[in-house]
Amino acid sequence: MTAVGAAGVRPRPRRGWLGTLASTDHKALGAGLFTTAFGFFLAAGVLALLMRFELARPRLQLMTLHGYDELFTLHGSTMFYLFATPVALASGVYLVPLQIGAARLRWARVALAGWWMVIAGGLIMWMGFLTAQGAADVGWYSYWPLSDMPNSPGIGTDYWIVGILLAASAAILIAACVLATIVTLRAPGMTMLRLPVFTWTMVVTCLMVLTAFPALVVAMGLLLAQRQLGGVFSGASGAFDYQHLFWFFGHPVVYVVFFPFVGAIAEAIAIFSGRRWFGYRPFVLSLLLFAALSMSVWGHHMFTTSAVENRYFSLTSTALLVPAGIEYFDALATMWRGRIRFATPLLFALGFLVLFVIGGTTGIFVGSPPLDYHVTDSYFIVAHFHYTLFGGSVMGLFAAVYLWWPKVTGTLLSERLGRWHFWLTMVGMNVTFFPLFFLGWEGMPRRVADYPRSSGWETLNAVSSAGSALLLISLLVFLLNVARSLRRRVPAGPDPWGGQTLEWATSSPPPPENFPAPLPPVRSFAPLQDLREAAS
Amino acid sequence: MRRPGVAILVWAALLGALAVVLWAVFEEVDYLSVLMPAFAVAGTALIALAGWRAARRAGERAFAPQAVPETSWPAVLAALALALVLLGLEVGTFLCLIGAGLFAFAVGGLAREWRAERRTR
Repeated sequence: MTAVGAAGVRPRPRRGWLGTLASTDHKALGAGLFTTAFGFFLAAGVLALLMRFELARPRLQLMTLHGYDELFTLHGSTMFYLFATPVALASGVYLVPLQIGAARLRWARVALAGWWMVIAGGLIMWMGFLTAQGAADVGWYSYWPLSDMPNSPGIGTDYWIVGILLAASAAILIAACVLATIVTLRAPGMTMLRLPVFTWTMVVTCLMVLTAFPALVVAMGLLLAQRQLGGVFSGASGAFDYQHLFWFFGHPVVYVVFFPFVGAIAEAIAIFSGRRWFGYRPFVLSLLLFAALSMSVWGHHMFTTSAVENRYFSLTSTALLVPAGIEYFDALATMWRGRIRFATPLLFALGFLVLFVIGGTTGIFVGSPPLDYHVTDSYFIVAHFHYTLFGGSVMGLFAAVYLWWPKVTGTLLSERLGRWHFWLTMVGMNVTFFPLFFLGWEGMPRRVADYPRSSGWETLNAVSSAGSALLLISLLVFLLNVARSLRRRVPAGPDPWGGQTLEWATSSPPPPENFPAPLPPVRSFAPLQDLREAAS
Repeated sequence: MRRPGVAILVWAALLGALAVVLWAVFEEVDYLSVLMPAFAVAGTALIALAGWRAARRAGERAFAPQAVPETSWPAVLAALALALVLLGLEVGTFLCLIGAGLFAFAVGGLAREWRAERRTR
């Protein structure tokens, strides 16, 4: 226990790496959770590469059919439960207190427990590979009755369920901490309509986690009970009940891992255009509408079951275009007549905008039941969601990393390596995933380790696999950039970009108390831009 | 929408409106399509209420001196103990019991931290 000074903050901690593992400082906590999640991203990326290399040619080369099932299950599960959701929340844990002028995170110990639950959940999930019958092989959504004991025997699936229970509960705990921080620890003058854009995206993200993730906890709890005891789900209605529960979480999670990076690219676009974000209030309203709609589209994953009201879910899925359109308009209008600097964070932000258009419009395409019937469970769907998740979330994540790296570490990343990273990712991403649209349209089903030579799918699969190798190279360039930055330690200064929000008003990295000097007055969502404009 | 409770309520209202369209306009609505959105709306309304109360109480206190533990090993232990309890459901009761014991120990540690914090206020 450390007593605090007059500003209500603690003195500079003297902790080693061991202390960091139990630190309640939101910055150590956010960085730790982020690093954990990024580690899982790399692990899931290795699984993706193995799958792509297997699919480069017909016939089985590297693995068995069952082994392939394990890989796609753990790839999807790790990406959603252990990488994307934790990394989105980690961004909030680190940045939200800084953006709202707070000295700490509310209920930091709860968030700390959440971080360790993610670690434990991940290890338990991956422990399945060490069991006799292998890891879970039921897909990331583990439809019942496929996931029931007779169809998927082996303890690997049970470990997988326990892992998800821990990771999902952790997400709920961490989201509660971030939301409570926003509600109770805002600096004087920081009303809700003066929250920075990124913080607003965290508000809706946390609300979605708090309302959608309990459905996953219930679904996984019931599935575990069904596997151990039986009698929970039964007949056709049991299968539909499970799907309802799962997708009530399963669609919102896509937006949970998307909104924070919308906030990140919005900050990057505003900073590197030298203008404040255009249309702030409509943007906030569109976020709320976007989030509400995304909680109301879960049934479109069940179009082909005939168990849902297709017209309603098609309507809400199509209506997502409206808030998305507002956000795109705001992004373009912010750049319009701005003094644009094409630094790496902006490049990734623009990459996000371009790629998410493809992911979003193909989402509207499959939001139409007749079109969905044609491409359901095909590689078209794989391409669509990788354009939203990789093209959207991962590009947005890298925009965030390049934007806030100087703030977090106090050092600069190389711009030259950053550009190489961007272009390799952009080319690699499109070469990997664009051919999958054609494969899916021609009928190649997803989740197959093999396909016939006569199918005519060889060339497109080979191209896609070559693209995944490019993505590997791009990631190595990024890791090289990170290592170089940490070794050379070129000082970044408190505000290397001309930032607009409060985190840029303190040193890099921020001291334990975040803001040793008095905060600048908060009269809008971009207080530092206010000061700059007042001075000019 | 300047206050957090109002912003969250606006979201609850949007969720509710979309759910009402599903329930009122369309015919094939199963019980989970009623229950899940209803829980989400009710949950959000509760969060709004809690947010409104917390924001009102926070006010001045948010920037008052606070004692904050620099590290919290009991929180870490609580998370790991919970993981052991869940893993014990698969591996065996003995692990559940070990996990539960460690969890109780962690709760004790957290209570001690909390009491120390209260004393410094």
